[in-house]
Amino acid sequence: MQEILHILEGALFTVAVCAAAGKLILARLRLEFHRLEAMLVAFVAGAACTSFATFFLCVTHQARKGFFLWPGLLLIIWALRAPALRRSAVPWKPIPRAWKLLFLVVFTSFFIIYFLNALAPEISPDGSGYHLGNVARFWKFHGFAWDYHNMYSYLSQGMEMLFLIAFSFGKHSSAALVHFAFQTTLPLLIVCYGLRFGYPRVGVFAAVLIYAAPVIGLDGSSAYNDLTVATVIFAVFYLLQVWDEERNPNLLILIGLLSGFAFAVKYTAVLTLPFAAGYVLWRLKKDSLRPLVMVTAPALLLIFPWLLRNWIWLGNPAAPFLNSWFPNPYYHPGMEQIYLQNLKYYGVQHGWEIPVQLAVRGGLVGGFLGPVFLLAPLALLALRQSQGRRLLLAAAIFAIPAAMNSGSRFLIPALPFLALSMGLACANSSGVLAVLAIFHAYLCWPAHAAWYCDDWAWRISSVPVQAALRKVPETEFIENHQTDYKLKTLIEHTVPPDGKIFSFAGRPEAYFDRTIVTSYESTLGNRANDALLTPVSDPAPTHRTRFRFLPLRTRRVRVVETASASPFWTVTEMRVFSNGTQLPRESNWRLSAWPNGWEVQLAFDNNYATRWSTWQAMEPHMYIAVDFGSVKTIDAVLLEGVAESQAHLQVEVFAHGDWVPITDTAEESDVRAPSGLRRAATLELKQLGIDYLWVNDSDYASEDMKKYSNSWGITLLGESNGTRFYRID
Amino acid sequence: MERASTASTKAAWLLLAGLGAVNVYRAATQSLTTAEAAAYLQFASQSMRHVWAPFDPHNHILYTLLSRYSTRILGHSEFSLRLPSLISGWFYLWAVYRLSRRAFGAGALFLAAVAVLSLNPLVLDHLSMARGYGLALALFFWALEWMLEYLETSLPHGLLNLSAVCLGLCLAASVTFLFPVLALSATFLMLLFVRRQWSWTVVIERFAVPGLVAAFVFLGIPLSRATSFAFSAGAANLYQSLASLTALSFFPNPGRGLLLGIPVDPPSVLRILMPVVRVGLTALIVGAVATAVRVLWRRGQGRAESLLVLTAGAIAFSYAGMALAHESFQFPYPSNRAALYWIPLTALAALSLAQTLGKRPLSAAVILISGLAAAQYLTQFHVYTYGEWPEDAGTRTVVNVLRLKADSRMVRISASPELEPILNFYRLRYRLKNWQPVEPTTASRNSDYYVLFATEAGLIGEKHLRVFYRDGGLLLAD
Repeated sequence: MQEILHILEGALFTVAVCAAAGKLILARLRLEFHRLEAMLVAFVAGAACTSFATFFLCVTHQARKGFFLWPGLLLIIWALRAPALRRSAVPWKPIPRAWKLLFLVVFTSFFIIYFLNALAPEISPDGSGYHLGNVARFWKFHGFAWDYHNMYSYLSQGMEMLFLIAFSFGKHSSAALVHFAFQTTLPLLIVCYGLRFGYPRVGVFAAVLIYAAPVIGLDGSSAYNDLTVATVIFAVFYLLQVWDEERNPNLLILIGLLSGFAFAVKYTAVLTLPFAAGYVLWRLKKDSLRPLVMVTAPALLLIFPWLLRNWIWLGNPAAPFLNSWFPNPYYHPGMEQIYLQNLKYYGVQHGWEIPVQLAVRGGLVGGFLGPVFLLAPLALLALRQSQGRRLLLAAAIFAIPAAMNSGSRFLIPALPFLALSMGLACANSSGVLAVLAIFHAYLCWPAHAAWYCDDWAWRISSVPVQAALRKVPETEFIENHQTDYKLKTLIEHTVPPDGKIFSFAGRPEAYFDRTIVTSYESTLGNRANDALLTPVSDPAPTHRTRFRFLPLRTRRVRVVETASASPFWTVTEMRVFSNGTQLPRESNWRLSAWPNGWEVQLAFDNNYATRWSTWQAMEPHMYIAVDFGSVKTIDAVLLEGVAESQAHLQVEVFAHGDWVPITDTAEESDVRAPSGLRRAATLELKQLGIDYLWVNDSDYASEDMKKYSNSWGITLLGESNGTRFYRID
Repeated sequence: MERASTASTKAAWLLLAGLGAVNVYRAATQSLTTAEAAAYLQFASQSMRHVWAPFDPHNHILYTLLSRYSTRILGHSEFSLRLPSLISGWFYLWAVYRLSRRAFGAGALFLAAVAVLSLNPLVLDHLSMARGYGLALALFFWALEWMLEYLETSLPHGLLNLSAVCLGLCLAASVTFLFPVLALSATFLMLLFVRRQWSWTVVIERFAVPGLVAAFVFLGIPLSRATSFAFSAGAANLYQSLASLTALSFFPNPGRGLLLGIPVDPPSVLRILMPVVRVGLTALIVGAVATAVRVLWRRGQGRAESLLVLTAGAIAFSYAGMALAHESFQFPYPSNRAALYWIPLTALAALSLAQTLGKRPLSAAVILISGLAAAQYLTQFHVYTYGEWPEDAGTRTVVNVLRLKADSRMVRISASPELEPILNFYRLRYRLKNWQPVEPTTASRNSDYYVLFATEAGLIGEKHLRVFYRDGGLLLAD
C-alpha cells in the first residue's frame, strides 16, 4: 500500500507542480479561459516550464528529491494563494445530454483501464528501455551522465525531465502516470475545442475516437512521450484558433512556449514552431515582426538548451541525427541510415497494407488506431468549412514524421485533427457521429480488440488490477512480461557497478543498474558488434588487395576510394611494403582517414576481428592514409578485409605539396581465414571495457557461442527464457 | 400513396398475409439445410472473433449477428435461427405491397406485380431461410420504396437517410447485392440531378455518408482483411447465371415436373424455355433502358416512370459493373441465390415499362406473362423443401430416427460432408450429449451410424453396412 502511495504521490506532485506553474503563467499573461479550459492549458503550459527548470538541475547535477520537493511545494502554495484566473466571457454551446452521457461512459470506462495499466509496473519496451533507462541514469547521477553514450540519450528529453520528478518519489509507475495525465488531458482539450468553436458533438466524437484508440491506450499508460507531444501540439493549434478570434498578443507567448516544449519532448514535433509562426504570419497579413518574435523567442528558449547540450557534448546539435553533417565519434552516420531505414517499414510488404495495418491489424506497425479510422478519407469532406481546412492542414503537417516511421505511434499527433475533421465531415448526417463513436468505443474495448487485430499487435490486452495494487509482487509481474528481468539479480551480483555488458538487442535497462552497450545504439556498440560478428560472418576478412608499383620515396601514402556505391568501404588491415618486406608500424606514424578518422587505428592493429569502416556509402575522395613521420621507400600497399566489388581504389603518395596517383591496378587474392578470430573478438571487447555478453538465442552469433564457448573465451553465467549471460574470461 | 380498398388490394392483402403465414409454418417445420447449418455453426454460434473474421461470402454478417441473438434468446431451433429472416420476409412482403400500390395503383398490374414479386419460389424460400439473402432483399426494396417517396416529395431528408441506411445494411446482409446497390444509388442520384432535386450537401450528408457508414460498421473489418479467394465463386457468364435463376424459379423441385399443372420433363422444357427467356429479357432490358432514357430526357415525374428509371438503371449499371469486374478482375457472375435480386428487379422493370408506356396491348401482354409465371410458381408451391436443397428435407426425421435408435448410448455418427453440419446443429438443438460430434464419412473412419445420400450407396457395400431407414434421398445405416 505504501508503495502505491509513493507512486501516486510522485505523479500527483508532478502534475500539481505543472498545474501550479501553469496557473501562475496564465495569470501573469492575463489570459482568459473557461474553467476546464484554463485547468488543461495551465497544466500543459506549466509542464513546459517545469521541464525547462529540471533541465538546468540536470545540467548542474542538482536533480535531487529536495530540489524538486521544496521549490515544488512553494510553487503550489503560491499558485493556491494567487487570485483566480480571469474567466472568458465567450459563451460555450452546451453538449446535448445524450452526448454528455456517451462521453462520460466511454471516458470513465477507458480511464479506469488506462489508470490501472499505468499504475502497474512499467513493462513497455521503450518505457522500460530507454525512456526510463535515461531517467534512472539521471537519478543515479543527479543529472546528465556525460560519459555515457547511447543514441537514445541524445534525443531531446523534455518529458523525461517530468518523469524524473515523479521517479524521485515513486519510481517507474509514477513516471508512467505523468504520461497518463497527458493522455487524459488530450480528450478533454478536444471536447473544450468543440465547445468553444460551436461543435460540441464533434468535439465529443473526436475525443472518443482519440481516447479509445488502442495504440493511444497503451502508449498513454506507458512511460512514453507520444501523448504529451500530441497534447502539446493540439494545445498550440487550439490556442492559435483562440488567438485568431481574440487577437490577445499574450497568447502568442504561450503558443511559443508550447511550440518549444513540443520539440523538447520529441524531435518529431519540430514542425510545431514553423506551423505556429506560419499561421500567425498568415492570419496577420502584415509585415510586423513583433508577433513573430513573440512566438519564436519563448519557443527558442525551450529548444536551444537541448541543441546546445548536444553541440557542446557531442559536436552534433541534432544528435543522434544528421551525423554526416556533424561528424562525431559517438554515432556513425551509416548506423543512423540503417536505423532510419528500419523504422520506415517495420515489415510491411506493400504500401496499400499500411492503412489496414494502422487501423485494424496493427501487427506490423506497432499498434493500431481502431477500425473507424478506415473512414479517415471522409475527413476530406470537412474541406467545405474553414475550420475543417485548418484542421486538415494541421493533420497533414503533423503526419509528416509518420512518413519516416511507419509505426502507428508516430501518427498520434495528427490524430486529434483528423478525428475532428471526420467529425465535422459527418456532423450533419443524422446519427452517424453517435453510431461511429459507440462502434469505435465498443470495438476498441481491450477485450473486443482481439476479435480482429493481429495477435501480436501492441495494445492493452488485460487489466492488471492485482499488479497495479501490488497484490502481485512487482518483480513477479515484470518477470512475467519482461523475461530479461529474470537475470537482474545475477547480473547485479556478478557485474561490478562500473562494468559494461554487451547486447545485440535492446534490454529493459531501466531495471538494470549496470551499463548495457547495445549493438546499434552507439559507436561503441557498433564496434563490439562488428568484432563479435566477424568470426561467424560470411565472407570472412580473407580478401587481399595488393597494389605494386616501382619503388619510390615518400613520407605519406594513402589509398583513395574513387567510386560511388551504397556499401560501406571497410579495411581490416592496411600494410605498406618496401622491397617485399612490410614496414614495421612505428609510434611516430600518423594515421588518418576520411570519413571516420576516429577509428583509423582499427586498420593498423593487427587484429582481424576489427576493421576500419567509412560507416557511410562509398563516395569519391574517401581515403585511409599513413604519414610515416619521415621519408620511406615503398613499393607496395596491401589492404586486407572483405572483398568489395563495387569499390574502386587507387594508391596516392604525397609529393611536391600534392597527392599524386601512383596506381589503381590491384592484384586480388584470397587467403584462408586466420585462426583465433573468436578469441580476438572477445579480447577486443575487453579492450573496449566490455566484460560481459548478453545474447539471445535468436542472435546471429548465439549458436556459435554456445558450441565454441572455449574458443570465444567466454563462460556461461546464467540463462533464462532464450537469453544467455556470459563472462568474457 | 392514396389509401384505397378495392378487390385487387384485398386480394393482394390476402395473398401476402397468406404467404406471411406460410413462411411462419415453413420456418418452424422445415428441416434445416446444409447452408443454414454450416453458416450457423461456422459463424453465428462462434465467438465474435469469427463474426469479424476475414471476409467469407458465406458469412452474411448482419444475419449472423441477428441470428446469434435470436438463438441466444429463444434457444436452438430452426424457428429461432430463421426468425430474423422471417421478420425481414414480412417486411419484404409489406414493401412489395407499398411499391406495387405506389407504382401501379390498384388494378390488374398491381395484382400482377404483387403476385410475381412474392410467389417466386426462390424468393419465397429466402423469406424464411436462415440466410442473409431475404434480409438483403427486404432492405433493398425498402430503400427503393423510400427513394420513390422522396422523389415524389423531396422531403423530408430523413427518407434519404433511411434509404441510404437500408442500402448499407443490405450489403451487410449480403455482399452479393454490391452491384445492384451501387447501380440503384447511381441511378437515384442521376434522377435527382435530372429533376433538379440535387444538392451536393444533401446528397453527401444525407445519402452517401449514412449509407457508407451503415455498410462500414458491419463490413469494414471483414473486408479490410479479405483475400481475393473470397470472391471466386459464381457463374462463368451471364447466361449460366440466367439459367440457374430460370431453373430455380420455374422448376425448383425436379421431382415436381409440372408446367402449369401439366406433367413435363423439366430439363427438356428448360432447354426450350431458355432461348425464349434470353431473347425476352434482352428485349425487355433494351426497351426498359430506352424508355428510361426518354423519361429522363423529358423529366417525367410519374411514379411508374420513376420506378422504371430506377429499376432499368439498376439493371443496366449492375450489368455494366459486373461485366467490367469480370473482364478486369475475373470476378465471377452471380448465380443461384446470389443472383436473387435479378428476379424482382426485372419483374418491376417489365411492369413499370408497361405502366409507363400505357399501351393496352403491352399491359395486357405483361399481365398475361406475369399471370402465367405466377401460375407456374403456384404449381411448384409446397412447404417441404427449399429449392436449392431438396435432399435436406428429411434430415430432421432422420435425426429423430437416430435419436430413438441410439437412445442414451454414447454413439459415433458419420455423415456425408454436406449433412454433417445439419446433424451437428440438431445435436445442439436436442442437446444430444450422448452423440459425439458428427464427423464427415471417410474410408478409414468407423462409426456406429452413417447418414448418407442415396447417391453414396457404394459406401454401404464397401463398409458392409446395413441400411435400416430411408427417407427420400437419405439413407441411415449401421
